[in-house]
Amino acid sequence: MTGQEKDNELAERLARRSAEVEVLRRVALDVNATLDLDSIYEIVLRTMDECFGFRHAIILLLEDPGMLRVVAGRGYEHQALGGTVVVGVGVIGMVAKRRRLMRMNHLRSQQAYFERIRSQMQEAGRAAELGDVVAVPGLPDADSQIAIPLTIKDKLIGVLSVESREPEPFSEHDETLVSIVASQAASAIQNALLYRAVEDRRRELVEAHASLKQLNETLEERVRLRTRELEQANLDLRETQAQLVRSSTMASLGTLAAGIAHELNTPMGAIHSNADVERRAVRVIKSVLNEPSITGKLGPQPRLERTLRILDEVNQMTLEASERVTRIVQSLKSFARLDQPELEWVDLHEGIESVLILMDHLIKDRIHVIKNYGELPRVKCYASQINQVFANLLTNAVEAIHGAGRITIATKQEGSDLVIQVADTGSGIRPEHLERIFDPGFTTKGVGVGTGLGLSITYRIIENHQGSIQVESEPGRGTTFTLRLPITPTP
Amino acid sequence: MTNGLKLPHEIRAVMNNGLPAVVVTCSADGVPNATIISHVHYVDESHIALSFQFFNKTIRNVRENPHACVSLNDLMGNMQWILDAQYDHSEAEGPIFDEMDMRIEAIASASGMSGIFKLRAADIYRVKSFRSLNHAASNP
Amino acid sequence: MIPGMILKFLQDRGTIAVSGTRDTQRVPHIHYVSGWDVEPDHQTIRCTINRAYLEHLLSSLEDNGQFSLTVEQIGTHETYQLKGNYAGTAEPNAADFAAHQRMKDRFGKAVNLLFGIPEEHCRAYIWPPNVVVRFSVREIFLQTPGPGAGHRVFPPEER
Repeated sequence: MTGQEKDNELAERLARRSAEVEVLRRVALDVNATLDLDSIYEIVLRTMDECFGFRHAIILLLEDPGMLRVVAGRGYEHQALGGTVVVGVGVIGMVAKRRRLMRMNHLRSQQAYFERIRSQMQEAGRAAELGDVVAVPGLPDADSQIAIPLTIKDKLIGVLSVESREPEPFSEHDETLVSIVASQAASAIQNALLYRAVEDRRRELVEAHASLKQLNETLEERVRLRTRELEQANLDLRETQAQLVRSSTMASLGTLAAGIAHELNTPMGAIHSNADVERRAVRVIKSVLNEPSITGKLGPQPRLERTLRILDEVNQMTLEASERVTRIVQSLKSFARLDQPELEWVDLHEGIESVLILMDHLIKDRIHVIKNYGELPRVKCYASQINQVFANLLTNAVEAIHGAGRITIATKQEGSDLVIQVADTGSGIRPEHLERIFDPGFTTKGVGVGTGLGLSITYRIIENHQGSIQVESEPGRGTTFTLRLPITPTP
Repeated sequence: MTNGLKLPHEIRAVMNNGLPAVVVTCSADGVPNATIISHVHYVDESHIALSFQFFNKTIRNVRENPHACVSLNDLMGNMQWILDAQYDHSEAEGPIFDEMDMRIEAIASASGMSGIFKLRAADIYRVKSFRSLNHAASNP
Repeated sequence: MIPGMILKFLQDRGTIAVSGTRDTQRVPHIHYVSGWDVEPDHQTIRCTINRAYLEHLLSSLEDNGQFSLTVEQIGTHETYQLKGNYAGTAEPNAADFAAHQRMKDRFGKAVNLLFGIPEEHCRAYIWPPNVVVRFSVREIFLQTPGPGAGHRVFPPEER
């Protein structure tokens, strides 16, 4: 080679090297300017092909500790995408396992060598010692290959492989070029993977936050609803409990009343009978003393006459008292009516009267009770429950009257309904309380004084009888409760 | 042409050209043994390595008598290289062993023969002298 | 006598051959063989060798008579090593040249098929014979890579 030729060759080599350096510089800039994996793959593989002439190249990423997957390819008919390589198998697998670059030439002859031995082993009956032939992604007739691990500080993230059908296309210099590109690619891919992971995580967090926010909002609403449900359930429970207590009380009262009535009947009968006998005896004595034969002999007897008069009055009082006791006991039985738990035809006036008698000690000398009773047919109802309603309304009316006052009870028939009104001249109910007067647990009597369940139970009872109850009130003037009951409830 | 003791750089490519090489050894009782091998590994300017996979005649001979004669063929380059070498030591680990093992296992594993051709050691030879024969020139 | 199957291999399939000798210091030497033929006694083999490989050849043979010939079929890797005793040299004759030509042709075809190198180029790589080395086969070993490599096939190994 002449001096000129040598100079030309040197110049050419220098130009080639400069071009390569420029390519490597561009690759470094381009792969690090993007965080998109596909773009990075494209830059790397395009550089391999267009700048270095390596037409067949694939990039594999480590999917799990034992396997690599082809994520990008160039120069393959089927692009090899998705193909997998087991770490430790084949050139790529060995590069991944040992984390070292491999440049292999004359692959076909080496493979043929092993295939020949494999055949011989099979012919010699030693097939059991052989494993399976593994198909690896890439050119089926590749004769040379450079495979280089993509690592970040000794951590393997993948492999870059370039192949050729030529037996010796790759030089040591090509190893260097591929190594430099691989190094840039590794860090760019790692960054992109991290970015993707961060982005995925960020999206997950945003979605989770949105879900949480929505959950919070619905949770608050659900808590509110649930609280209301629980409050209602609590009140229902208390109402039921109160009703049970009342029923139980009423049952006990009925039993007690029945027992009292039974025990009192006989002695009361004796007292009444004796008083009656005494009254007649006094009459006989008076009659005898008034006979002429006796007055002529005894003369006027003012002390005897006065004594007989007193005896007469006492007997009358005894009679009246025993009759009163009998009425009270009867009222008690009538009020409880627990011996008759089924629907029955009931005279509502009887129920009202029995309640009034039982409340006499609260009413007399203080409250004037006015009765405007209309002609009422019997009504089909649960007598004990209706009596409970009357007791509740009348008790509230009595308690609302501080000092002297008036309770007016009016009854009438309106079509198929009976209307009962209980009006008092008590303290009245404030307008803001009126709408809650039938709410379970609501009371104006203060904590621990009333259960607040009386009117709610009253409301429930009337509702169960397919009736209605309304209230009108004026603070300082009084309150009027109006019940409406169907004479015959629909079954 | 006798070139001396330092192997030229271009001989590395010849060792990787995929063409079989030849190694002749001699037993302690003086019987030569000529074997065709698949690969000679370049270690450095004055050393080569041969793979020890099976305990064959070559392996046995150099342990009795360290002399060996190795030839490499560069068909495309019309060059033949003949190396007079001497068995120095064996390495069952290290960079030379790893590289030779990788090359063997890379092909063997894909052929379902992983472990069958397991490299036991890399036998390191010191090159005492070498010469090249230019087959492009007229027959000497 | 060389077994028939080995004779057939040498005659029909062997593609490349190399021989080895050792000198007085037991230093081994390579001598490429550019052709071979079996003499009618089916015991003696004639190997044609180019002068490029004569260094140490005759002196070693004169010293100890030990000669090893390894013949391989390129492609299948079927290989045999024949070891024997030096039986003299000779000038290559027509048959030797024919054997040389046979070898060149087979070599050219096989290497071209396997490595894609032009046949003519491969044939030219095999230098013509300058001397014939004759040796009487004493032992034959299977050298085909794989199971059985290293076993002696002639005389058969004692079981």
